[in-house]
Formats: sequence, structure tokens, C-alpha cells
Amino acid sequence: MKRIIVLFLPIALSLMLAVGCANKLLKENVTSQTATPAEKKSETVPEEGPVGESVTQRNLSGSEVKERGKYASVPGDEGLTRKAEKEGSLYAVHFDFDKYNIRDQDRSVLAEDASWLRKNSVVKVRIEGYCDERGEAEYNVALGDKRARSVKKYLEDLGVDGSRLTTISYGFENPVDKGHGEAAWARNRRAEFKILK
Amino acid sequence: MRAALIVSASAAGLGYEHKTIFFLALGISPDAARRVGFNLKRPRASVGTGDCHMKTGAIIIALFVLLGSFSDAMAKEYIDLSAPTVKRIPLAIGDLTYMGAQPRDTKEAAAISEVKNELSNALSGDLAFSNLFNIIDSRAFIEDPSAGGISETEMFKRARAGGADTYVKGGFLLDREKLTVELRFFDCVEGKQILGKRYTVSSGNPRRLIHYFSDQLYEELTGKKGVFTTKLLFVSNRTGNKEIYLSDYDGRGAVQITRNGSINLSPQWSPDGKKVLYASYKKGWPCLFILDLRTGRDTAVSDKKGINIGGRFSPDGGRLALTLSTKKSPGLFLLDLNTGVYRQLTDNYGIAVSPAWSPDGQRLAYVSDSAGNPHIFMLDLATGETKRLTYDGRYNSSPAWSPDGKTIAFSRSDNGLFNIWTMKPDGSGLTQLTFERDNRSPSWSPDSRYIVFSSESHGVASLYIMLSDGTGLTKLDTGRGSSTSPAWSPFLQ
Repeated sequence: MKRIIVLFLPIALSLMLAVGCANKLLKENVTSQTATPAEKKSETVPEEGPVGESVTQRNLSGSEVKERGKYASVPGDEGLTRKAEKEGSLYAVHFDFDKYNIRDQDRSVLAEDASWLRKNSVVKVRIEGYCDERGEAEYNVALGDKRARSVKKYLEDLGVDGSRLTTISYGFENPVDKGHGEAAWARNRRAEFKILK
Repeated sequence: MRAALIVSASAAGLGYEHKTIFFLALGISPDAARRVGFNLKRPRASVGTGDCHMKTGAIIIALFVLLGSFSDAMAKEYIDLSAPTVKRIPLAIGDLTYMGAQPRDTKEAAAISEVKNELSNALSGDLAFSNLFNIIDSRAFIEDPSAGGISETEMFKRARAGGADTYVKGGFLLDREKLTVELRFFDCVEGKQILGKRYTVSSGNPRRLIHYFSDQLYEELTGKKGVFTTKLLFVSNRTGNKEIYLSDYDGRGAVQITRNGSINLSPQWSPDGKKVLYASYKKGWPCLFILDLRTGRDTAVSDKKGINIGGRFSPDGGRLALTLSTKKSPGLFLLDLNTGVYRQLTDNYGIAVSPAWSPDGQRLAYVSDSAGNPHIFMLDLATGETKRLTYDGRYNSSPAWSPDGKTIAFSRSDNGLFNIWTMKPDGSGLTQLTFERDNRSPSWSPDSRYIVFSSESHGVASLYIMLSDGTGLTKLDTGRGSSTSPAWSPFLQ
């Protein structure tokens, strides 16, 4: 699925550029899709940049969007989500073995995340809980669920509307580090964010 | 291509009803399968000759001779599995001879040779797995293939001279799509045939025929049902993602039964062996599904918000114990499959997963972190009372209740690597069964004699079977990739 999107985006982009009126088309598109009252103030589509940005606009509101959240609403595209993280949007947090409490050193990270989410007030985010490879599949799905919920609760306490946050657990599936030592495990015990729209 | 698919489905060695799904899954109707010569029939067990079943009296005599036991004159079984130490009987396995005419061409010769290899491999595998025999490689001194036949008396004499008290031999005949096999088991001390059978199956299915014979031999010798025609479910990542597979008890003939490209976890059997309960992310988050192996129908049974995992059929098949996180934390629930009504069982802040029903359906063993780290607890369903069973170990997980109700197997870790342990249902009698690699997910054979589990080394997991005391460790050949989360079927015959 991810691959399809990755392949699709450049194709869609080049097609639009080819007809030579990409911005105009997109702008109309955006306007027509932002009919809900909360999203009346739709942004002007930027002159240049990845097509993902244009798609983004219909889902964001507020003038600060361009600053930090311009890639935010690309559906399910990992590359762009990572780019958003890199630009200071949403950071993953990590956990101790078999634990789901937020560690002290991650509180400032979540404060940043919360601040970004408050600014990008229409963005919906999925919090994904993961574990290291040790232990049983079922326990780890439950543990990942607890980790994602810990993060959700923490963000809610910092003023983020809980209805914008969903959680999912992948247990020990999809490790970011396929190694088998403590260093790899530490990286894999995490909660990360996927921007839904 | 079609023919190849059919062979692989037939290798799973299922009965007619069970096969149907695989043909459907492969896009082949059972009718089409028949047209290309696949024989959708159960093996017919027919008595070969009049001397097949020895009389009970003779069995008792043989028992004395073989085991030197004088304790129980009324014993019906050849081998008493309840004895403190089961003495292994020396057994010679004879060559399986081809009973037909000379092959017409090299293609036919190759087909005969392949069937012979499959039969021989399955037979020696089953006999070794039974842990009843001390197998002696003695073909040469019993029978000389070049020199016609020998008399039975001479055969018994030679076997005993070679140290074998028992002897198994057989022959087979391949006729187009039909395979006929004769198998005989002899007591060389008494000079008697204990069991003689002739079977006919489709030629694509030699292993199943041997498993069928092994069941009958095992029952003849021990008075207990054999597990050779039972099946395993497990998870394999051989396609690049985790899908559910169904194989023979020995891991052979694995057939993929989910094809959704998502993550599929922890398959479980319905008590009647006709359905598979599993967790899958195919709807986007972990939900529980039931796959009917006869019809191929796949139904979502629990798709609540949050996680739906760790489903287990109650012994009567009417309810599921499962974990939901609809409230703030993953807890245990009961789902009535007729009414669809959920009942909450645990209400902790922490985690409660992996319920294991007692065979009488009265209690659930499960894993909870309410004591700070994962331990095994017991819940009495009538009273709602919980009792903690484990106190040692950093991480205790995946309890599995033996079908005879006497033992709970589980996995435990102190340092990151897991091992399989057993204990009594009251938490006493702790015994460590494995000591090497990383071992998880124990599941009992329906006769409570064996435990299958996954064992990981260097990032690759394989399935292993051992006797319930930890001896007789056997690695299964399930094919490529990592095989995890095995679930042993109930008796299917």
C-alpha cells in the first residue's frame, strides 16, 4: 500500500505539472473540499513544493501551519511523516523493557508534540505502540496498546483534544531495528506517530 | 501449475471436507480437482488377511515376554504408558517393497521411487516420534532383496539374532492415481503378527496413509489414541508477512490458510477441530476471526475498538475468552458466540492476556502484570476469584493447560531468553523442560503426551516437539521462514 502511494505521488505530480495549471486546479480543489465550517479559512496552495503540501492544506487551519506542519496531513506516507518529524513536528518516544510509563527524558518530547498538535488543530494522528522482540506475541500486543494509550493520555493532559488521537498496537511487529541486542530492543520499544489527515 | 497446487493440497493429508477449503482457496473447485484425478476420499482401512488382529490373550502373553512385567495380569496394553519408565521395544524397520510389475519407463520408476521415499520417511518418522521403540537399522540381516522371499519363521529368527524383538514391513502398489499399501507389524519373540492392514488412497497422499497406520498401531500397542493424524496450526513469515498455516503433526505438508497480506497471529483450534480462531490486522487493527476449514468461510467475531486478541474457544465451543482494550486497559472478557454478548472478567489497570481454559471449562489461567511484571494467575469463573500461580521469573507467559487437566505449560524468562516450564494447576511442581535457545508458545498434543513450541536461534524460529517431561526433543520441518505460535489440534479422527 505504501509503495502504491509512493509511486502514485510522483506520477500525479508530473501529470498536473504537464497540464500547466497545477496550482489553479489544486486551489479550486481545496476550496471545494473544505466545506465544513471549521475549515473555511483554507490556505493558499504554495507555488512550489511536493504535491503532498497541496493536499495538506484542506486539513489544516491557522497561520502557523506553514511554519511547522506543512507536510502534516499527507495520508499514510511514511516519508513525509518522517520529514514532518525531522522538521520538528512529532517525535517518537521510547520505553523501558516491559514498561508503559512515560520516561522523564521523554516528557519534553511529548510537550513539543503536544504544542505542534495544538497548533495544527485539525490534524488527526494515530499513535502506534511497539515492543521489542522478546516475549509472547499476545502480551506484546497488549503492552504496545498500553504504551500508545500512555502517550494519548499524556497528550490529552497537555490539552490535545483526545478525539484527534487514535491508538493502535503492533506488538513486536515492524521493528525499526532488526537487530537482536539491547541497542536494537531499546529503539524498538517505542510509540510513534502517523498523521492520518 | 494446477496439478502442482493439487499435489500440495493433497500433501496436507486432510479428509474430504477439510480439503474442500484448500481447493477453494486455490481457486479450484472440488469437482475440478476430481477431474484432474485427485481422489477426494478418506483412506479406506481394509483388513488385509484373516490373521490381522491378534487375539487379546496373545497380546497379554506378548506383554509379559516383551516387558518382563508380572504386575498386572489384566493389562490390555502391549505397552503401559503410565509406567514410571516406559521401556522401549527394539524394532527393526524393513524395506517397503514394490509389489507391482516392473516399471514401464523411467518416469514410472521415478514416481515409484518418490512414493517409496515418502512412505519410508513418514513411517520411520512416526515410529521414532512414538518414543515406544528403540529402532535398529537391520534391513540387511532380515531380508535380502535380491533373494526372493524368506519364510516368516526365518524372518523372526534373523530379527531376534539382530536384537530386534519387533519388526515392521510392508509393500505398496501404484496404479495410476491410486496407491495401495500393506503394512504389517510383527512380534518376533512370539512369532506373531500384531497388526496387518491394507490401505488405498490417492497417490498424492502417501504420508497421510502412514499416519493413519501409525495411529492404529499406537492404539494396538498402548490402548491409547495416537496423534499421528492430528494437525498443527502455526504462523509463518515465509511470504514476507505473517500468515497462518496448517500442517501435519510433524510439520510436513504445510498449507497456507490465510492470504490477506496483513499480520496474522496466534491461531487456535475449535474443540471439534473444524474451525480456526485467529487474530489479524486485516481490517487495520487487531481483530479476531473464525475460519471454517470445511467451507472456507471467514467471519469477524470480535472487532471492537482497541485490541481484540488472544481468543480461545471454551471446551464446549460456545464461548470465547479473549482480551479487549475497549476500556482503558487490555483485560479479559468472555464472548458468548450465540448471543454476541461480552462479559468482562478482569478489571485491572494493567494487562490481562492469553487465557487458557481448564478442560472442564470452570477456570482460566492467564497472564497479568498486576504484580509488577508478567505472572500467571488463575481465575475461577463461577466465583470470580483470582489466585496467583507464579512468583519466580521476570516474565511468565502463554499458559497452556494439558487436555488431561493435570499440568500447565508456560514460558518463563529471567534474562531475556525464554524456556518452557510446567507446573500443576495449583502452581506447585515447577519443572523447567528446555535449556537452550529461546523457547515460547507451548501447546499440548490432544493425548497430553507431547508439547509443541517455537524455538528461536539467530532470529529464525522453528517448531519443536518434546515429550511432556522434556525428553525426546524433535525439530519439525515446516519449510522456509520463521515458524511461531504453534497450536496442536484435538483428535481429528
